[in-house]
Amino acid sequence: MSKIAGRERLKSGLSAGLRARLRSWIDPDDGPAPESGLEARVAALEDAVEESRQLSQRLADVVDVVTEVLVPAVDRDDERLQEALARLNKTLGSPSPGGERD
Amino acid sequence: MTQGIDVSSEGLVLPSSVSGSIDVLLDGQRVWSFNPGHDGRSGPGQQVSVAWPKALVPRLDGVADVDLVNHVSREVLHNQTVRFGNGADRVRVVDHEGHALAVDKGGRLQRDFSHTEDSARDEIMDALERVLRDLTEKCGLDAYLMYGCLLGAVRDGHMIGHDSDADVAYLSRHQHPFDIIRECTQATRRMRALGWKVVRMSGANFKVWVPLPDGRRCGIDVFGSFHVRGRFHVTGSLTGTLDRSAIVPFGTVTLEGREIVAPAHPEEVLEFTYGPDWRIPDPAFHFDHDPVDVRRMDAWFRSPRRRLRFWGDFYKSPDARRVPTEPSLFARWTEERIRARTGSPTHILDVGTGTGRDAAYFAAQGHRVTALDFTSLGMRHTDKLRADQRLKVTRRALNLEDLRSVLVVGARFAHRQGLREVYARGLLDTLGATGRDNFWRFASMVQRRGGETFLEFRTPRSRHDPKFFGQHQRTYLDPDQAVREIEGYGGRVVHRETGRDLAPLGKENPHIARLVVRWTS
Repeated sequence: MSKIAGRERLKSGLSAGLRARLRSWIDPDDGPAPESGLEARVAALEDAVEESRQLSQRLADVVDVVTEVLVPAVDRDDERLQEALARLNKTLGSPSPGGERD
Repeated sequence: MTQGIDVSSEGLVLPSSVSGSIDVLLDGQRVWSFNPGHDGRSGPGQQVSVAWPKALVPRLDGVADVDLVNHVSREVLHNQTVRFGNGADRVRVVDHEGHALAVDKGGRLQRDFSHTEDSARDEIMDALERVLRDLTEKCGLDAYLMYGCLLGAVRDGHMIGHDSDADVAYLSRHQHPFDIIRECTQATRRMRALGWKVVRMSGANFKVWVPLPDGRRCGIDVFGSFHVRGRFHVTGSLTGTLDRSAIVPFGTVTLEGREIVAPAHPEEVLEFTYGPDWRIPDPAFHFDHDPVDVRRMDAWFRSPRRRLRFWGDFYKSPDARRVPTEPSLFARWTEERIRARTGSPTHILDVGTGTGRDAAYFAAQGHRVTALDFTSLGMRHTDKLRADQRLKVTRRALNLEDLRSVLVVGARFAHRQGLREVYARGLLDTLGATGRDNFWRFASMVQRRGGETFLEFRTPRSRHDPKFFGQHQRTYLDPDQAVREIEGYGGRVVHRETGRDLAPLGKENPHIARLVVRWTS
């Protein structure tokens, strides 16, 4: 894969705000950015790392929901589908607002 | 006795020469421990001042004999009778059943093990053993004793008195957060199926609640631990260098007279966890993690918890009682618009309902109302209002920071016949980009057959205005950005207005945007 294609793929997976920040040092043709120093580049990279770290949780949740509802959905079994959704809601739900060791 | 110590409603002042972990006793009951070195602020002269912990402040009203005692030597450093606030009674730090409470290392008031009777201690140990067995045999996890329980076992064979929960961990067989989350999800589900009351705390740890014979319940925390790219991590946010050989093959330690599975080299694990002074008892201990480590763990496993603690604390605080109980101007405006369009009562989903004051108003106008929020704490403030007026409002849990919650709750509503309106006041300006994204997804799912989404939020022009509630978590949203995001999800803004005088509260008169959105053509 060419360097440019790699950059485009990287950019397409990121949020608009982050793309704008990264553009300031990825695409020099866009002209000088207000923040062009090393500090801005590190901040943009930190944002990118943060965003990609969060993908694991989102992907895991999507996979879990899809896995649980896929079979009843394919079977067109509405009752089982409802049960699966109710179970998903009940058995895991959202994290507690209570404290964690952190 | 140590000279130069003073205790008042404002806090404690001590000479800087006082060090170590200090227990604070009110009428002989330990309610808190602190370490002047960690928790104090240098004051004038050679003095250190320490503020009362937030959780204790509301309880400090009345008179108490205050003792400060060195936790290790048991030397009484100071004794003073203090009058807190205007109350004339003795200060009592107890739960509603009269059980003594103390501030734990997370800053919360909890019952600890120091007042636990032997029979309850046996019950806790029974539960701990059963949880460990189920984690190992039924969930296929390599589970072991960790944190305070391991510390107590290695120090003197007993649970630590000032601890309030039991801790175990498991060594994940995975090395990527995605797999680690999946593994934890499976274990959580399996434990639930086995009949345990389980609460998911993050993507890689959960809590098992065990009822005790004395009426209280004990939490057994189950922490995921794992190696990622050579670094060892334990949830919450413990991160560093610890070889796998320190943990497996497992050995055992003795806790309350029972042999419990433990890391291969418990001393190494304890030093990794608590530092080189782990042998010295320190109830004032709290983790001083590198913010980089906390941020990493937050991003990996705790993004659905974003803002949860803030709002939970807010609804428990006296500030929440300052939220008006009468409906907002926006609720009245929305109701009129719905009534003009439909001519009859409809189903309204009040998303991010907060105290539920607008949900109560919609119900009073004859609408069917479902109030959605991640916590029900806010709605307790309008319980009486709804009961007095016999208003029916259905509550449903929805965490907009949690994609799972959005997909599952959204799908259930979307599946149902009929139209519904979505109402969200003061919600979008408390969410970040991820929460907003999830909200658009939710609204577009549940209104795939029609209905309108009513939005009111503060714009960036309100950022520096005086605020009725002072410092708050606000993310001001530019209406243009909201419109772009809505259109990105296939929505259409059918009404837009901005300005002041739309949502005044006390001296606060924020710059507000109102949008009405349709997700169908």
